[in-house]
Amino acid sequence: MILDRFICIRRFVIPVIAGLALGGCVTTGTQYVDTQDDRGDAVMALDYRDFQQAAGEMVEGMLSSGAVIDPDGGRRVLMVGRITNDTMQRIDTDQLLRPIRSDLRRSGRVVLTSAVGLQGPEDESSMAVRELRNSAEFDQRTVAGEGQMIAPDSSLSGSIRQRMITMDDGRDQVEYYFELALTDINTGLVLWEDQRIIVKRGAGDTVSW
Amino acid sequence: MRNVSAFRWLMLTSLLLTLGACASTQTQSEYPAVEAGNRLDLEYPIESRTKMMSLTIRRDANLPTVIISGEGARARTAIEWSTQWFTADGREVSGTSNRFRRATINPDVAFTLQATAPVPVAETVHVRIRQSDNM
Repeated sequence: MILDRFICIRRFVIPVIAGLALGGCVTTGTQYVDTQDDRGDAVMALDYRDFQQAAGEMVEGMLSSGAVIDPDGGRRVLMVGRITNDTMQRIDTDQLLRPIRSDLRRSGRVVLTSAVGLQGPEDESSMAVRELRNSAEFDQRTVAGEGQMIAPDSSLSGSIRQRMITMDDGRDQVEYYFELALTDINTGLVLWEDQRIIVKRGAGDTVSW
Repeated sequence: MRNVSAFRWLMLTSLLLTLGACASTQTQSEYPAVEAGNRLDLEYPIESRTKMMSLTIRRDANLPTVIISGEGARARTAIEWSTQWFTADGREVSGTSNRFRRATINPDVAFTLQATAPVPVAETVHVRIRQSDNM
């Protein structure tokens, strides 16, 4: 009788303790991440911290080099050229460019044009409103006049490349190369260029795309 | 006999007074050495893994640059560090400059961390150094 009761208690108590212990270890709820203080584990793929790091280092290098200073004392007018994604991941290259663009603009030395782009203007509004010329429906004094738009004098182009290496111990090494160049459109000369490398090493079965 | 005892007391008292005077006149230097208005936060266990830490801001270039110098101690440590720039009126300069950057410090090896502010109006800086679990 006593033995039966002991077995019965053991059957209930042990699973309950085990369940509580496992429940305490596993975080099942969704959590917000403080992007200013993220201590999350690294991943083999590119995450926002990598883009932030590459963009931050590049914009800091560009600004401190003095390449963006207009020799005439004004502000450079920048257009964004082609940024190639040569990785095995689907990457929106804007993830790299947006922080660079806003930091450059914030520096007060550069303005960006959205009216010119290699695949058409980034914002088509500037041209669209010009089609309102001679429309009787619009007060022509409020329609943008001819010769008002400012052409860019420099462009930003670059690429993100990836290289995979299997190491002797079976682990994978992924190398990401972020490359950017600032070109003077009038002369075609490269004013500044830089390459930042982010290297990650992980288990061979980790997928990075 | 009484003279010897009195002499001993006199010697001890004068020694204590001398030591006390030395202690009070010794200048107490701040550690880490940080320029006024700026801040350098060393999170546990970075304080014990570094020595001779200092923070200075150079303004000779077109943009202010913060330079943190020091020496590693005890063990090789992977670190992450960030900068927060502030204007003269105390507003934080937003952008990518406040991201965490990675570095490694080695025992008895001097190191320098350097970051340039994104705008010329950046006046003061708050630097934070923490241990990295991702390296």
